[in-house]
Amino acid sequence: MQTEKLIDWLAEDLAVKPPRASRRLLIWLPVAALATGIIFLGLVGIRTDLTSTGAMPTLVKTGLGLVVAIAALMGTRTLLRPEASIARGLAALAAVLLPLSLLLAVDLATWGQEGFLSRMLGKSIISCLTVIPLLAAMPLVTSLMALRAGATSHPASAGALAGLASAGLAIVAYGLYCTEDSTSFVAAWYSLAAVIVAVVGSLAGHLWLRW
Amino acid sequence: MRQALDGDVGAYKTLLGAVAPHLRGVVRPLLMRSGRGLADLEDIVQETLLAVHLKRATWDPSFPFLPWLNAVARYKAIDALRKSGFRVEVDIDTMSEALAAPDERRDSTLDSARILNALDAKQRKLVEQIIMVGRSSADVGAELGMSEGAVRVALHRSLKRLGKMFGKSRHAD
Repeated sequence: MQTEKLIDWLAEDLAVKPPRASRRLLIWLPVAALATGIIFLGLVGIRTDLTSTGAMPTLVKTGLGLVVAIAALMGTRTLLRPEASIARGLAALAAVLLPLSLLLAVDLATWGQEGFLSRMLGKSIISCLTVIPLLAAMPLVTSLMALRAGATSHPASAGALAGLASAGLAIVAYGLYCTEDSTSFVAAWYSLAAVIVAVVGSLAGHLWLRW
Repeated sequence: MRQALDGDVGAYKTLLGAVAPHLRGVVRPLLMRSGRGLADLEDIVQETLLAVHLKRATWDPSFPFLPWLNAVARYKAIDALRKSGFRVEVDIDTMSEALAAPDERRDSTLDSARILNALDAKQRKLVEQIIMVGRSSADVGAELGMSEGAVRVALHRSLKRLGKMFGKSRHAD
């Protein structure tokens, strides 16, 4: 086929507006996360001491989740553009390391090194590592669907960031339920749960985000 | 591109007409460096034009157009080479310096008959009459009893079909 003909064909198609990946992402990721979160909290209930002893730890957890989600979402949006470099996309992650190290520092400063391991290991690792990824599943799927309308040059990284954004929002919901309040527990296992979702996202991105 | 995104068909044709030789200039050195012939050049150029079209919403008008265009070309060219079993490392700087060399053939290896064959009856008629023959879409639509919107949708679907064919034709080679 002649290239001239193809150009005519494309011009003929100009009126069909292409989907906007960025808008899709910003709408459907939060919608999916909110729906999942409401169902989850409807089933297991918000922790009962939310307004008393649980207030501060819950604030820490939901805050951490929001920081992760917003930073990763901004990175994902950047990577939707084909010319965006991988470094620009992943730069968002730097914003996550600060609150994480702060959590560990707070733990050590408050309680000292003694008993650090038992505080960190806590009693609900399994629940944390399974429930957070489960809560992140639907948001991850919807964000990958939105990302397919984009044109990333880095499918795996874009998928990983979408996974982190989904995990961040999942952490907000889980943080309202989980009563494991040691900040070192949160820093260690919430992060690992998020990393698990990011790895799944990166594999899915590698497969689905080619264009 | 800005005018084109506002729906100015004339501006869009002019733009794509200028983009095509630029893409040849970008893709040609890639093909040569990978040590394979230029037989696929126009296929990759056309596939990239199609990608430019389908992904035009990912260009943010507050950023310059050329880096976006080169990134699309780079992605499509590498994808094409990778699919056919070549490993390439591309330095984007040397790419953007590539000159638009004199033109050789402007036909892809995917010939019109093969494209038309892959479409269903209605799509085939539309593409044949509107694109290949160059009749107006309103006329052809009226002839087939299709609304303007239906014609648009059918042409759009056939474009997507074409996109899939580009990938497959290379696999068969």
